[in-house]
Amino acid sequence: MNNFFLILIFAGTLLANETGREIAEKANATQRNFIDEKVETTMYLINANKDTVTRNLRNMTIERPNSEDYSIIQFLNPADVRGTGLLTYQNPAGDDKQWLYLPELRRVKKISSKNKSGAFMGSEFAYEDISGNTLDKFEYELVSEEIYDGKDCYILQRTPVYENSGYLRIKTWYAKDSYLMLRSEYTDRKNSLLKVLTLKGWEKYPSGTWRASEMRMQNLQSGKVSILHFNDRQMKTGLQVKDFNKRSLQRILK
Amino acid sequence: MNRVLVLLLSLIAFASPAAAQNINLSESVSLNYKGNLGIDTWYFPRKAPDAKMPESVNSLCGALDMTLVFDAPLEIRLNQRLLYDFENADRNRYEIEDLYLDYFRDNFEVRAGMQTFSWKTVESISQADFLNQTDLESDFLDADKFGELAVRTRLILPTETEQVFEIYYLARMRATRFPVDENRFSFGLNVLNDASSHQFQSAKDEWRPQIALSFQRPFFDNIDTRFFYFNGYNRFPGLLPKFNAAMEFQHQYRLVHKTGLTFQGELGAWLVKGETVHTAFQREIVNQLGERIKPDYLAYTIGFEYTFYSALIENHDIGFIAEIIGDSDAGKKSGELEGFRPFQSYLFSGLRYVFNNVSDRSLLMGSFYDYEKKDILLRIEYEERLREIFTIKIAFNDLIVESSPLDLFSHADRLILELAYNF
Repeated sequence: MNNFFLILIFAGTLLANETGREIAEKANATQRNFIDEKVETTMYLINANKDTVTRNLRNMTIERPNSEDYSIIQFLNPADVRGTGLLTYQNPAGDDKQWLYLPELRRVKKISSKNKSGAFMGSEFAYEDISGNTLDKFEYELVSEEIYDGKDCYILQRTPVYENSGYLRIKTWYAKDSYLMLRSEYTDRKNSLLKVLTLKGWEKYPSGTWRASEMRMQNLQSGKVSILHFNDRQMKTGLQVKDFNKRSLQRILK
Repeated sequence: MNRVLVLLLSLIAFASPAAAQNINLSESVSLNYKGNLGIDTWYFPRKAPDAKMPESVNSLCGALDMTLVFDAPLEIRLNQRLLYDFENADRNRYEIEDLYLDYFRDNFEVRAGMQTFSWKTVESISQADFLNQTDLESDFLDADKFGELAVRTRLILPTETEQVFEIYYLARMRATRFPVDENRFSFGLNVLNDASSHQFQSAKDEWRPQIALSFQRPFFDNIDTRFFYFNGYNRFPGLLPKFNAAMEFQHQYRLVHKTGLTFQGELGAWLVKGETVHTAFQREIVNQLGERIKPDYLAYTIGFEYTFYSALIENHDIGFIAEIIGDSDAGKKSGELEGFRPFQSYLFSGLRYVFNNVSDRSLLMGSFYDYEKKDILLRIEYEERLREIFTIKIAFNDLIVESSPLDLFSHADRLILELAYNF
């Protein structure tokens, strides 16, 4: 009985020490200060029958104040969409701005960024899963703590406050010692557990920025799995804001 | 024909599974390429007005787009395509759509050579996408662009808001080719397609310099806008009777000023887009009624797009598009106009159903409705990727027309099947 109270007091102290928002801010800080970044991404799309198709992407991002980051994603395969590019100006306070370059038509098309819940390239990752994490797009609540994968973790409930999210809430495990995200569980708008994200291979870069080398998203309802592998990641490469516009979107990224 | 063979062999070599899409030629130069090789089949269910016209058209199509990328602000691009019609040699093509050198610095870019441009922002009939000539003989209702010999200079103003000023110098007017004889889209006139018969309003003929200016910047933070001016030849020629025994018609390329703007942007959940162009002919011409006129008119296409995400089925999107297409000469008889201008009072409505799956399956349905003449054009299109390397497109075009200039093609409803291998 005494132990029970001790645990309650200990847990209460911890919960009082750090709020969900503060933990989220510290977790967010582990992802920042990269200045700019280039990375090659391989995406494995595995259906319920374990058939796998592969997608390759090239991504470059520049860090800007207030998380108003700019990014370009260029699709390298399948061959019929090679060269298609997506330019995003992230807006923490509202909707991002996005343009799609269609090389066959030589056309830069403004697209709606309302499509938060849509599948990115037919994968189990939604656009809102891969867009940059901006703190103000969620409300945070520290709901519990537990050992996950041998690590002492905070469990935060993140509730999207932006429109058109596909999620009612997201439950996220953060390692207490590093504030790195290890796992997320996504509950859909019908209040059913939809997906589980696990992140592995965290590496610290010279700037102090942490990045996972693998993200695995499992859809519990469809049985499909999508895995993102990040290769050849470089930071502080000298990219500038002028490299992120509709003109550069039309050129082959190097 | 030799060029066609060379391209075909190149396509086969580059398309081999062993080939990569990126080849490092040296530490500072790499070659990027992509292409496709496929079969296009059109089947016409309606009876042709002329026994010479085919019931079906079968073509071999291919494209190879190669870019040399340097470790410097420089690219060299060669983008070529091939069309081989198994029955009608007039449709055979080897075309270089792009062969240019592109040099780009922070605030200055210059691109010189054969080039294909796009100023299109709308989904239906573009008014502003006129810099390139189109190949009416290969497909009158969905014509490919010809590359234009041009120099494009860009100045990027050093302002926080992106502002881009462009100057286009188009060196040579490329003539189109009309469908004639057994081409299913032939409209019965004996039109001369050989270059020696063309008439140009300038004494410099096709070499009369043509200039375009463009200025792009966003307004209201979110509406991308382009203002433009063009001084050169109208791409769609007039057809002049030669009054000879063969009743031949020759192309007449007329000098015009074109001024206009395009825009595309996001207003809340709505995508708005539009193009409007004022065309003023520089010299008098003779219309189909024999009157001497110096026309000017304003043409426009303006509309919106709205998408419902995961509306009926999780992850499936349904987009609705509506556009109004018209010009200031709506209501005039076609003989009073300077040329072929069928889209003067149309409403376009489209539905795009996107499955968001691995094979990018999509279904498009579009209808053009002439609210003056009550004509209707319908198109249904289904597209999907198969086994990662193939794409299939199945489409059906139906023209329910009686009184508009498009009545010429009412027999040309067609089922389209396109199968391509992509590499």
